[in-house]
Amino acid sequence: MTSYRTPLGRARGLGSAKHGAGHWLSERVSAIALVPLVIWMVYGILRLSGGDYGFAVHWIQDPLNATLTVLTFAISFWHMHSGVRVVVEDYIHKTLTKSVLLLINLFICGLAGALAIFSILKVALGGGAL
Amino acid sequence: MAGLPGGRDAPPWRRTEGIGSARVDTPSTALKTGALGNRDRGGAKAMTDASKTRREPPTSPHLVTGGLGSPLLWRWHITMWTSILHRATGCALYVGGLIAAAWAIALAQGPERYADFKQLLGSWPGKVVMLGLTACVFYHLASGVRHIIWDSGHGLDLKSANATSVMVFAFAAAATLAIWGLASMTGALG
Repeated sequence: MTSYRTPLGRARGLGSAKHGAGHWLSERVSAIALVPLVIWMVYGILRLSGGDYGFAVHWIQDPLNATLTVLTFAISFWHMHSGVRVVVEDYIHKTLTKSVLLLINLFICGLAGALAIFSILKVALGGGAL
Repeated sequence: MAGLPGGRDAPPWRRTEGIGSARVDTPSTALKTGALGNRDRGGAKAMTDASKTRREPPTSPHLVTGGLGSPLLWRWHITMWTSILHRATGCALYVGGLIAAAWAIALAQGPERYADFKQLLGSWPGKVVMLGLTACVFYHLASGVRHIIWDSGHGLDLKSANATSVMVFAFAAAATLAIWGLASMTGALG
């Protein structure tokens, strides 16, 4: 296949969008990581929905559950941010509206992710009010 | 009509009447198989006998809507549904992610708030939302795996794309039913 790229452009590897394949790849990598995590999460929700507060605290204090829950939250919010970013970029073309929505998306994912992970760590590290 | 720019007296390439009008004289089978192509309806005859037969201007297939109830060339296809629903379920799961974060916060806030949260999700509207989110999770999961398979360069032909669409829908429905069946059996539905 003929390449129309200049040698310098190829060496930089940033493509026509000027930011390379980074976003595309991170969306795929997070998607692949979420496949087992989400299946585990459904199992976790199923167990937690049958139990009370004490059971949930006990469950989260298990290191494996705490780690997987934190990972699921972190990678989910990362993936959510990537996905909705693309949706906004695809459908919103007014620069100001687009910028505002992209910022809101980033801030919601950052805040909700941080709150969720901090909460899990608090309970997992013994902060659960039993 | 005479003076209008796209009217009857305009040269054929300027005429706009007939575009988007109800004149679909193609059998619906041809429409369904997509065999319409670039066929100029009655065009060959009109070309040789232009003075007697008024030639229909060529019409874009996507403009031949034919009005209410008539066959459309453009139609919904299962791969369109899978594509659109991947985004729609992704956006729904955004809300699901926020609900999950609310669960973690409620857990950290103590037994009362956690009980309130569980009561909210256990209510009828809460259960409906959770059922919808379960379907969204399994749909987005299967559809996402399909996208990753595509990204590896496999299954991009029409036949595979159609078959995997059906598989995605079947998996989402089966997995949702299985999980809710399991939930009702283990007493998780309260």
